[in-house]
Amino acid sequence: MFSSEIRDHLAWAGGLLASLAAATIAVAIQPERTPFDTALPLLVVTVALLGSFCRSSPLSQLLAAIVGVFPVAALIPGTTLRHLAYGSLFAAALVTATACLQVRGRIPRSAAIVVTLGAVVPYRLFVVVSVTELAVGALITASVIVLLHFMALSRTLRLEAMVLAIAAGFATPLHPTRAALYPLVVALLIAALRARSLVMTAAAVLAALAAGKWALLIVAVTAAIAWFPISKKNARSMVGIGGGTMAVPLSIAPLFRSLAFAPGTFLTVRRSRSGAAAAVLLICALFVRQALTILMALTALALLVSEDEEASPSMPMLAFTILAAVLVPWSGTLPATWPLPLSLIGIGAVTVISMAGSGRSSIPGVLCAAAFLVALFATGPWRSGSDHAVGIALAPGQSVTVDPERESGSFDLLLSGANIAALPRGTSFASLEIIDSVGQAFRRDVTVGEVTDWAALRGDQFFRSRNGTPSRNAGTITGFGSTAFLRSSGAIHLSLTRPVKAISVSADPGLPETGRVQIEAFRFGAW
Amino acid sequence: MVSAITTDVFLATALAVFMAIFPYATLKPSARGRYALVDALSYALLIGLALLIRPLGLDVPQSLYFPILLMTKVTLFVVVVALYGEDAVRWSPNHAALFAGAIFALMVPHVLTSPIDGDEPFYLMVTQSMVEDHDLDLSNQYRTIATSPTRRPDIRAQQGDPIGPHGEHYSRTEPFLSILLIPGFLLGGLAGAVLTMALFGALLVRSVMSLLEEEGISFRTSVIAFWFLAFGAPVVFYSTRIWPEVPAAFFFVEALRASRQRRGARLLFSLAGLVLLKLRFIAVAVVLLPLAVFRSGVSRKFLAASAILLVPIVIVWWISGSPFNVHSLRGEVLPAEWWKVGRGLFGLLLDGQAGLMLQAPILLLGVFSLARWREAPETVKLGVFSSLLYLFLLFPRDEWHGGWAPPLRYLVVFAPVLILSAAAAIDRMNRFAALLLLALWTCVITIHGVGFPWRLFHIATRENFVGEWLSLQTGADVSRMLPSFIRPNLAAIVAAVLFCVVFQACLVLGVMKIPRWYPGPFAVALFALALVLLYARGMRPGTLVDFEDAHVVHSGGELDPEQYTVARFLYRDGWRVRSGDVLTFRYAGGPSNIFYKSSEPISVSVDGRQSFLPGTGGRWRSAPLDIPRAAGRRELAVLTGSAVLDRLETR
Repeated sequence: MFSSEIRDHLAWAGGLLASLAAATIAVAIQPERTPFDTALPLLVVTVALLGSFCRSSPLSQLLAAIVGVFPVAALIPGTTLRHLAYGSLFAAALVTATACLQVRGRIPRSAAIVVTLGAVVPYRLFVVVSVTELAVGALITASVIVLLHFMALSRTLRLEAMVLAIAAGFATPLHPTRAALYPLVVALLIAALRARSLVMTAAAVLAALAAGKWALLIVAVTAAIAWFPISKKNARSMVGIGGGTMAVPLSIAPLFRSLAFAPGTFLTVRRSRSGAAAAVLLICALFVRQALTILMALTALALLVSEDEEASPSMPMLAFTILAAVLVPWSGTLPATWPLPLSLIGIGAVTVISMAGSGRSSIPGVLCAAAFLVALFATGPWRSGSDHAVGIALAPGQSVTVDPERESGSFDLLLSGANIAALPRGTSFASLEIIDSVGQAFRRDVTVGEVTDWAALRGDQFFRSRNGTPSRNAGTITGFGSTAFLRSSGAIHLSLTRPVKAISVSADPGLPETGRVQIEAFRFGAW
Repeated sequence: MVSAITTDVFLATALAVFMAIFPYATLKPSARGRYALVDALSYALLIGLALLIRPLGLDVPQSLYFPILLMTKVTLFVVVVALYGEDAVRWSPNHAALFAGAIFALMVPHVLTSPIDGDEPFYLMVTQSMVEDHDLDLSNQYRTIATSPTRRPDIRAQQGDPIGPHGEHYSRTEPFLSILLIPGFLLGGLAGAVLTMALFGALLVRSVMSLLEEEGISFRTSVIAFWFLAFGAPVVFYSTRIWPEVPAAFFFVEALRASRQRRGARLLFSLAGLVLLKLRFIAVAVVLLPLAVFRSGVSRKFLAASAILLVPIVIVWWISGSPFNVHSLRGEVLPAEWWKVGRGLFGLLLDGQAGLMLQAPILLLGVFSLARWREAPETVKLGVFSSLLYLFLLFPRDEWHGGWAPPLRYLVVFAPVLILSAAAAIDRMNRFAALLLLALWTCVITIHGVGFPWRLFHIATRENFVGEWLSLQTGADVSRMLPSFIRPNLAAIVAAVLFCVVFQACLVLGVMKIPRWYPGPFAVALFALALVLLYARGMRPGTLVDFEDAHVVHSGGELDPEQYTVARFLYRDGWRVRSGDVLTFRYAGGPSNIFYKSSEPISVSVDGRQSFLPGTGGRWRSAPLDIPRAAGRRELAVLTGSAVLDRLETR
């Protein structure tokens, strides 16, 4: 009666409707509904739309299965497991769609836009708390599309370029609002470098002026190199020097060793001006505040990748990368382990893994992936133990004596600050006088960096915060999706041979008038 | 527990070593590089996920780690073999058998971290008796049970076991499997015996792979079928357990192959092995032999030689004093209640706890594939015909679900035929997304079964592990939405009708040769919608509460009859309560009947309303209870007396 094509259309439409109905019902009966649950029907539509672009491929069957299974995931009791299921299924859908749409290791620009929108829109627009954030999210999404447009060569992109665009979509901060122009700035920079166009450079400068001083720094570095009258030979020397400089700190960590000497196309000196600009940006990234590190690193990688005309042979690596990248925002996996809002380090690490996985050999990428996962385990705030709450706040100059109430000489004292986000790392914060069971006293000074403002990692504070990140962070995750943040809390580890009898905590008198030292808890048995 | 974890760490290492050798030896050099990448990535991902379990706050039992690793590695390799094709891999029935056998052998120490159960100790005790006492009398073994190699000091002679003229205690199990176990037992005791079963598992895999090859199944499909057969229920569970079903399946497949190849001697040898393993399989042999002669063209002289099949009967007669062992011919052949035939048939297909639908959906696909009878491979037709009598005799038996045994006990022997039928369907359909869903579910079942070997011996209720888990998590009776033919419910009737409709539709489409069009996205989404609606319905209070179910919160009392009661499926079960015990549950309310038995009058209160229930003299009776309709959980408290409560049901 109908042609095969019409029947396929009808099957997809019917599937979407049935799945949508299932998702709506599944969410309605969920007793503990989270914003992710509420967004589920929209997510189903997103995956179904992705599937509609891939209908001609055999892999579209897989997408159909994912569309169907998505609502069933909403029935899983337990928020974490449910979110993990959403994240995994959504990641699987994106990877499948990418596999459908790529052509011999490159992806058409239009297809890349579809997949990128599929990844970024749910994160930016489905879980929001205000209209302003919705508008900013939309602006970021639009900027990402412009970025994809300018990264394409002959209307196709390397798969890594698409991953970078997705990463930029995740990493661009909501606060301050004007930072939403970050992907646009990068897009214009790429266009300026590629065409050596004054108009584009001017546009990039204008966009950077609107975005903030940090963006201007990025543009200035890149534009200076773009217009600097250097020969190709000199450019190679510059990149060589830059690369060498980078290699020193990177080689300290075995984690990154394989990355720095990846035999692939990453960090090769062929890319003259882009390579030089990227090298300089990467060096700068080491010295700027943490919120800017990831943005500079992403810019550098975008400059490198956009110049490359090669195909990406490493589909498995891409699959892994997107899987990890999408798990970041949707499952709360990384927010629970990395002490940054929006898991910027996680996004950065995933992006770097993707880049390292490119080229002829995938071994460095695999090593990076393994190291990344081990690092997830080895870091983070989840060294949980048995907490004994204290709950005291001290004004500058005040002091109090607290009793751990347990016969132990080894435990963590959990501290945080309030209204101190503007203080730079290393500022004196508080001092501890620890008295053991025989009355012997020990003194321990605490600085900002070991302990941060409790909201230093919240979206609206993080970009401006100069507190750094505690190496032993004992915070808890609050919120969902792009609004999730780690309620920061520094764990000061005390290890005495004899049990501690009392601790006198004194807030530094030099703290701001509204600043507070918050004694949150004793934590026993953490590791 | 520490020992179990140590065992698993050792096994994981052994598995990693094996998977670092076998796949690379099997793959041709051109494919090794790509496999190496997938191999490394899978390890990275697994390690990462394992490390994230704690930070995510997930509660994943450690006994699941090894099965998850095992299934991931095995599945990845099989997927690679299927995708790369025969040009990139050296793959034959022997390779498949070697691979499966090695994996089964690796599973043995893990499975043995929990005690053997069901008939297993008895098979082993017979082996021990033959080795040590050179007889079949188990009296010695029962006397020294504390030091028995079965590691089951609680084992006693079962009621109804054959007793010899001089008080000898014989086992009701046929002795042939015990004889086969002797070499393994001599080499390694219990572990050696179980390894012998793993060997038979490998032999079965080899036979089935050869059968698939002979029936012209494509390379890719045969590899997929291999995975489903070897690493899916029920074969994977019985390959590491002492039951006669896997060797029987091997002999059955060999008999079918012999029929197709017109090799009479091999056919007779295989059928003799089949019947020796379990007398009940004579129902298969007496059908297959004439079919082989008159349909497949095996020489008629072998009909005369079929007298060899009487040998097992003579042996059993000699041991037990009856040609039918402990069974009565009337009870075995003529069903007492005919409705039980339908219950057994649909139960084996659709039961939410013990049926193919939950335990081995790929075999259910094989059943559906039979709707295209004309296109079915000849061996499938032969296998189905020869199993009909056996199945007909099985359906009305109360233990159609296998009794106290791993799932699908009575269908293990026919699993190869259903796999072949499913393989033919897979070849025709080419729907890999549907296969993926089946494979995912099969993985879940296998991981659960290997991770919790003792849970394979689930008591026959209507609940499966998913239903139990959901019921525990939600406090609602979600299990009642699963079709149950053990305790027949409305869902069972719906499922049976749906099965008939779909099967009939497949039949009509096949007969009319209507070209098929699979509305994939719609079908999957519709299935999901049905699941969600069932779940939503399950979350609402029901009109029936079985007091022993997982969703009932028990503050006091115990299961009745106790979990390890022999032939427990013959009893009506409930929850034994005494004064002071409290049960809470969701229930719709309204005029109701409570079913219970007690030897004395008891007083209960439901939501604070007191009621008196008369004594029943130890028999099951019902009494009316008026329970107001209300939302929330109900509380039933026993104020005085004691009773066994079966269920609460609206009138």
